[in-house]
Amino acid sequence: MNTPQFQGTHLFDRLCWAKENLDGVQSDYRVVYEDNIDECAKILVPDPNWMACALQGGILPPVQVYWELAKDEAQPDFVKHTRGHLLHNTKPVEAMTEEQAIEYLIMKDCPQHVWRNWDEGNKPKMVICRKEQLPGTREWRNAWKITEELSVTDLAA
Amino acid sequence: MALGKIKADTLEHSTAGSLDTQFVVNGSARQKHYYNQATTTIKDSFNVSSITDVSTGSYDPQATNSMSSVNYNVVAHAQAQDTNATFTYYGLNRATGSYRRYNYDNGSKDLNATDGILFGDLA
Repeated sequence: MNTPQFQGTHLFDRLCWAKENLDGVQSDYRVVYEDNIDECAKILVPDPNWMACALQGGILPPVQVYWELAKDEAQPDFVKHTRGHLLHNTKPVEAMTEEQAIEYLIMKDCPQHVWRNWDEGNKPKMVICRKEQLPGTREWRNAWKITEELSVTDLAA
Repeated sequence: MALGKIKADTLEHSTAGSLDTQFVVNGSARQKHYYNQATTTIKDSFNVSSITDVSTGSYDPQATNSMSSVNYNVVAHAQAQDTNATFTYYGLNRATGSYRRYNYDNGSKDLNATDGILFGDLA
């Protein structure tokens, strides 16, 4: 199915179209990251409907749009967004592979201080893995950490 | 765009009166999620890009279309897993693109069926 020409269409309306016309895609990928050394690792779970939009193309705005909105929201005098039109009027991104979609999602939903220098320091602050690579039980969920033995060099190899 | 449109400011019934369509537009849910935190599986959703599993009983639904401000409403629900258990929902860390959901059911708990609906103005 071809995506309608969506540039200029409210993003919410595009999501309505996607919900009606696209089947959700359950990704096995998970992103594990640590943004505070005093807290346990967080797990980013991709949304199936969002993943369908990413794979379809022509629906989602460029990730940079979210960065712009985040900058606005970080201002001390922020009350409400005045540049929401960026979500709707910026040319949507083309179809992504599942791996590209995960990278986009990292840059959208993980804190920037995590992914911008994920491999600096004594151990990686972020890992992309498969769901089955997570611990099988959540009994000790609040103690989950990225292993100290994980090597950035090994990851890149 | 290929989508059909009906533009109207008012819906009028033959006998029961009329309704301004702004009530329909402004009263519609902007985001929903139905999540199994025990298996980290999103079972149903709308306007969600991801859910960040934060810790036991705690997670952040992330929006695809952000809200215009943090002055939105969240309706939360979850299925308690023990008979007569006390379920409590806490909302924390409210931002335009996400909020933190915390489920407490005789202690922090990863619930099999936890859901939320969000109302408010979109960015």
